[in-house]
Amino acid sequence: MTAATLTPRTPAPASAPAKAPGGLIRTMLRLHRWALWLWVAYVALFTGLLLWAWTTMGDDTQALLASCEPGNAPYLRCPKELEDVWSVYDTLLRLGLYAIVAAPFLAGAWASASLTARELETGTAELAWTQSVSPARWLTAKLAVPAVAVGAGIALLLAVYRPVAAAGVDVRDVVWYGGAPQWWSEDFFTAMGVVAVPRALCAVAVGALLGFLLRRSLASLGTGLLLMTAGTVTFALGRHRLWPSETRLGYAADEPSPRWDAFAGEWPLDSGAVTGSGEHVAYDYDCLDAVLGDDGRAGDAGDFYACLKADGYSDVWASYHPKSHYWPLQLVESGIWLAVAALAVFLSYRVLRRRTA
Amino acid sequence: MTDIAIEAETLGRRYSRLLPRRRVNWALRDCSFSLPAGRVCAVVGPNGAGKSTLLSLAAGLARPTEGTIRVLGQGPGDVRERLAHVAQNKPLHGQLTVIDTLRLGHALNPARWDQATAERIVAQGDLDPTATVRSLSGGQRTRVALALALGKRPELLLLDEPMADLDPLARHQLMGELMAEAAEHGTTVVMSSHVIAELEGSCDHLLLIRRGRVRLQGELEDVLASHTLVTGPADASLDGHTVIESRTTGRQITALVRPAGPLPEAHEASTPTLEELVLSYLREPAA
Repeated sequence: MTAATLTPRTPAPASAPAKAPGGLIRTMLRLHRWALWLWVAYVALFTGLLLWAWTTMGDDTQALLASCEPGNAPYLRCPKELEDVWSVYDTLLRLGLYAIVAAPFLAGAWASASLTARELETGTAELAWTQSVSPARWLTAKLAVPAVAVGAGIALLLAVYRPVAAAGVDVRDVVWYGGAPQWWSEDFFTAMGVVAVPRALCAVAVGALLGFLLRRSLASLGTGLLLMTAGTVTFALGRHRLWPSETRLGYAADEPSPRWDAFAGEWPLDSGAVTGSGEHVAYDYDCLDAVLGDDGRAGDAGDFYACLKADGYSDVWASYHPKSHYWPLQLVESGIWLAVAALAVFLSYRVLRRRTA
Repeated sequence: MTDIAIEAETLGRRYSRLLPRRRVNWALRDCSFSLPAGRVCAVVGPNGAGKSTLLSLAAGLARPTEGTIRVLGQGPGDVRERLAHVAQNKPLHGQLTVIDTLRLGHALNPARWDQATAERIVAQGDLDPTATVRSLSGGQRTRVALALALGKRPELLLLDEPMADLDPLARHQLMGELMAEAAEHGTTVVMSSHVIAELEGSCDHLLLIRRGRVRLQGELEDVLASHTLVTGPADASLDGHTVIESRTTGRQITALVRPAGPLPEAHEASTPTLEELVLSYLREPAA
């Protein structure tokens, strides 16, 4: 009896339906069906809002823009309707921006609570590991399916956001003179670039790892959100160090002037004075007070320079990122997120290999 | 081919936590045994004896801290396809319907899946196949978990307290179905339980674990035959025989012994039931 028992069975018993109900990937899609639908709805909703914003910048708006007349320079006098159109467009665009900034957090929260943590908590992970599929393949599917879904969804939002944001620039310059968002501000930096995708992938990978380590949904969710916030804040505060900044001297420049402030489109970082020995030091702007007139306007640049010299300084300096550093900053930050994601994936496989036979 | 289903040598498993604890926690230690194939083996022991750990190790859900375990002649990870494991809490995806759960079994075991068997087990339970697993009662859940395990047509079926949350009637019925399936396909069943009644009459091999160690193992008939339940005067000597457990009531003593030869005349001897045997071993003072 025993010998007969242990001979390998012929594959695919006759009673099995002719059509297999999909493999591991289909199984993952079925298990996380609700999360997937919610994500599709999220991406569809905000893509829709962004496309709506785009339609408000159509020919009618261009006609309104063309009808603006010169007013109190540098402002133009425009029809009231243009402002109304702008306010709808701006609200919709802003919603799209928030959707992009929030997406990596949502992906991370879901991944840390639900992707592996819940399966380990309820024991369904072990159910999967005792099927014919090896735990490593199970984990691969667990990571690949959300990575593709999250990556594609955010990529779509980013791809729509860029042209929609560009479509409103002309109107913004008129309605909201000088109110252009700065390229280095956290939300705009995220929404106009690519960094949101690696950020979300990292959130998914770290979430999966946390699930393995903590094996509890709620603990993993809390830790995941905490780490995601810490990471995002760290980059928001320290992003300027990711690429070497440039420094400009006031009086050694082609057009000497005592300027610390950046030119338009530049990201100002730090500034100070240059000592006689050429050292860059912090500066308390004493001379600026000295040469400021009572009316608040700066006095003659020559006076300022004389005052600096009297204090023992030879020049002023300012460090900044020119706009050309935008993509290098984006790519370095993306690389770091992806490296952390790769590390988390590697550790997840390691933990899994150590836990199961 | 081997006729040993599970073979363990000095098997040990220690649970480590993220933060080390002062007390080292061995769930299993120094376990050596072999379970024959084609049989129904009962793994018996009190709560926390290490039964679940043993089944997890056999299912490849944990790695031994020391020693080795061979399942169907190979490492547990290599025979994943040929074994099925039903954990104590019957983990299933609550959001899936019964049909979807079986579909999942098919998708994850494409080479072995036997839809007819799985459907038969479910159908015998009088439950709605379109209901979500979450809405099922404990007994219905157990049935679906068993359907998933048996649909895989395993050569080795590992069941951890399979009937624990069932009423006696459902337990009897499901056990009958399980045994019929196992007999039909010659499946080796290794079942842990502390409900001895559910093992009697269905299992033919016994592995008794206590405090992470193997206390007793063998064919059930041999094990029962090698023990005797004796009743006699308290002052009579049982020297020379291995006394597993004895209780004194007034002047009478009742003891389970492993006789080494003829027992004293004064004693009344009988063959113990499985329950008496197991209880005696569990009550036996710790060595």
